[in-house]
Amino acid sequence: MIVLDTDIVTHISFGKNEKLLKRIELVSDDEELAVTVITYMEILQGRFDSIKKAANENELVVAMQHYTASKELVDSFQVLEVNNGAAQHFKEMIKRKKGPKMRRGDMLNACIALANNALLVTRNVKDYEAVKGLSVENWMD
Amino acid sequence: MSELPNDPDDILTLADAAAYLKVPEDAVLKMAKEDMIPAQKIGGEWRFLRKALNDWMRFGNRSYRREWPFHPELLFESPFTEDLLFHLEQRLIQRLKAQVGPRPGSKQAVLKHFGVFKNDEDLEGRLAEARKRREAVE
Repeated sequence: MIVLDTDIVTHISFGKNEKLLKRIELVSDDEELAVTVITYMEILQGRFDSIKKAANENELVVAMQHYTASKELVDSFQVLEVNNGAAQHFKEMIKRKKGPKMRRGDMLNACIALANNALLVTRNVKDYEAVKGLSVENWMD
Repeated sequence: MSELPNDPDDILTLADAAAYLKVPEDAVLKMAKEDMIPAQKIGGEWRFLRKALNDWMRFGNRSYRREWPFHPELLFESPFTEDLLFHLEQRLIQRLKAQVGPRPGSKQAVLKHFGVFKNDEDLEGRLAEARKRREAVE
């Protein structure tokens, strides 16, 4: 199982990074590519905001098209929710006082990845370095 | 007795049916009354469909009582049926695969969307927005 972080999913949608494309092509056929429910939410939240903010009918139509394309993109992954295992990791992490502070979104992503024994792919490897036992890779640089 | 019709869908009178089956009318009448032969009583007169009589002669009462000519489970014990079901399953799987596309979570499914916004969006803006949104989650 490979979990792709929000920044990687955004780069996939723009399709400008050849290295990322090549790396995904190397994934074996039986491997699962996934996003967490956090990434799912973050990707679509921006689309909902654009729909609400549309100033005229053209902007509204474009915002809706972007929403549909983004929804199809995130739905092409397995979507991982917070299961009991992730909740357990979360319980341990918020108890821990030592080490650098983590943003809640990063923490939840890490918990879900750990609960699924997944590799987490992100461009922001540093954001996850406080998490013990989590495998993190950057497929872009 | 009237001249017998030739069309299998033609309707026969009691006399026609008896003549067609080469038995006395009484025998046919008794069987019709006991629902032992495919027949309908219309306005006090018995009528018979030639095709129904033919089927009845071949397959017995099941032909018009909508009963299976054998136990349905026997169908699944036949090697022919196994082959037939296998081919039908393969066709169904192919059709379903063509409809749904690659399995979600496969690289093929994901790569279908690679570059979906390559022409019409501001990448840095989108990344900054996503980052801001994650900050806000805390």
